[in-house]
Amino acid sequence: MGRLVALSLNRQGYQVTLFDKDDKNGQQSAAYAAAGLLTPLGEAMHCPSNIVAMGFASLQLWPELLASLSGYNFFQQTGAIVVSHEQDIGDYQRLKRFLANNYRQHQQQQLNRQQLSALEPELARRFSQALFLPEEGQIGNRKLLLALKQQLLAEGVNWHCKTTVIGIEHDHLPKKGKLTFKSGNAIESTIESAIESTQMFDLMIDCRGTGAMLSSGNSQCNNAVLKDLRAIRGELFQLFAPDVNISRPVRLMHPRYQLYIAPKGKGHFVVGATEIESADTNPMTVRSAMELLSAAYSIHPGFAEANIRQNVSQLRPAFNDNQPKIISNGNLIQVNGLYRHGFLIAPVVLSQIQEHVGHLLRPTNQVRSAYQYSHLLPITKVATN
Amino acid sequence: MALNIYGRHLDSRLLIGSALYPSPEVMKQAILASGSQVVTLSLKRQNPHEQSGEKIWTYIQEVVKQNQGFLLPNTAGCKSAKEAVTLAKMSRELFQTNWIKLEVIGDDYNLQPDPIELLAAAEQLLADGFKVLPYCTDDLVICQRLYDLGCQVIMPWASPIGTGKGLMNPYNLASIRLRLPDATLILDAGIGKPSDACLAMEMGFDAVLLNSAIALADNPVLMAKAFAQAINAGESAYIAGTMPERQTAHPSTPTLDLPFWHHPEHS
Repeated sequence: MGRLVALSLNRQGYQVTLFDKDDKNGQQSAAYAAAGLLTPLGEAMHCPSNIVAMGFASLQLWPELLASLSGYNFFQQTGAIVVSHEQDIGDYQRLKRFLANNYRQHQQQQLNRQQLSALEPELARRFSQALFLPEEGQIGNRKLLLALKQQLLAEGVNWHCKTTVIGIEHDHLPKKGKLTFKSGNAIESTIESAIESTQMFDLMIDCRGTGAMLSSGNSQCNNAVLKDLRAIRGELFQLFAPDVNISRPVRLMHPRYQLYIAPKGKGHFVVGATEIESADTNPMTVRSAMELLSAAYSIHPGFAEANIRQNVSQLRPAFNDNQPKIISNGNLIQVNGLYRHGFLIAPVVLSQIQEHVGHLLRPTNQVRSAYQYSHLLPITKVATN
Repeated sequence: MALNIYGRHLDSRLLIGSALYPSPEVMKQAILASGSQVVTLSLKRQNPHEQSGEKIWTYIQEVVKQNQGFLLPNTAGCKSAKEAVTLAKMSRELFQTNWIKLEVIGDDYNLQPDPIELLAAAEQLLADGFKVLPYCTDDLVICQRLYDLGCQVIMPWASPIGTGKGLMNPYNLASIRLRLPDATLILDAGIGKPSDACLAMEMGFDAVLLNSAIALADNPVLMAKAFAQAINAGESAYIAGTMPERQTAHPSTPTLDLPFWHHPEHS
């Protein structure tokens, strides 16, 4: 989210400095450990309705956003498939009932084996029925991170990578806020020896996800709202399975997780994701690996011979209501709690940030009485002490 | 009437799980709406060695305190007595409680408790001073053995965890109630609807423990209220004493004023 915001604000003529604890490839981010699914209906049963609405709004916004990144070309909106094994058919029926009752305005098609075969022939060998959600899509999250890197460099954004923010002192506008950071090495064990610096800014936008949890306990940050922020562990696999021909994201009903297989082209698949209420940053557990891989194999036997290219575990930031928040506090804006919906809702979040930054820094340009997506994602305003 | 478990009085006879809710906030509202004073918590997958789930544990503890209740750690996911005992001891250190909901799973497909390992774990934990609430099948002999070991509370299943199939074998459950009149019996797992919980309470069970039926409802908060009401209704019905079933109809109003051709034998 931070890179997207930095690029967009830079394009709007603001002088942007991006602080990033990661390297330029972004492999420590929650965005890296994702699948890039744009499946609002697939998520609908486990999230509030405003997230679903933001997901559909974002599906409209992504193409233009992606088109502005040179060399990026992976946006797919050919629908998603939901399947279930016989023992989990109750969960499948529940999802169908829920979507029919609550999202009737969006397309939902119950498929028999023949119809499924027409869409995804290799799924029809194992499943006699499926739910087809034609409006759903996906993007390539890692391709997007690389494209953002190229674009940020090409457009000359001042980018401090491998730099950890350790303090934020905000104040009333138009006073400046102070950012304290350590650069040189983002690895926490060595950060003590890194050089500490400070810099003043008109406005600071904190998009650090779970990284903001530590410094929010710091008195310099002075913002109690992030006390509700928690980490949720998610694990996923990157597989190379040339024997598997599935073209759309597939969701498998499971009693505990939202399991999916996201085809990324040329035999590459993402299989995810566990969802564990834990801030554990250790590598993937055997149990998670077995659950994810057996789920993949149960969908398509071709996954038995897949190469495991990578297993990833990462923490997603979430507030107690699992709602994203944009918190405005003087010259500090905190964007956090995107949970498992980062790519799903990013364009709407970005739009809200852009409008709010404009409102704060260029108030004379602001003509709209309310921001475009305030009904879906209101800005939370906190009074500065 | 208050429920008494291991000497602790509780106003609510509904024990509730803390998994599978759409969000912690919804869980909080559901727990508060249920009035439940005992909230179970699974540690197994949260890397308890490094206390990685501390944030959510603290959150649940704060919620349950609002109902004047307490947290009941469980050993969900354990498959041997050794594993369960280790996790119970870890829970005791983390939460400063010697209460444990003991689960030892014997079968991955239906999550059926392993009676052999369960008895072994219960014996060790009781000897170590734990207040053990064992989750078991509706097998009378297993329940009897657990009670004989010293478990004051026995928690037979209604049906396999998360199935929502309700009371699959009412005869077995009634037998356990009849044969263990002094044990505190809590029906645990498999409850799908408030009517299932009500039925268990009408049969004389002391309380009901459930999770999925509330967490997976379209409106968990409303469902939590529904369960609280159903359990109160069932408990009241049990105390009130239900009428006996009869084979023939008995009119509840006098029929002397009916003309004779309206009497059943002339119709």
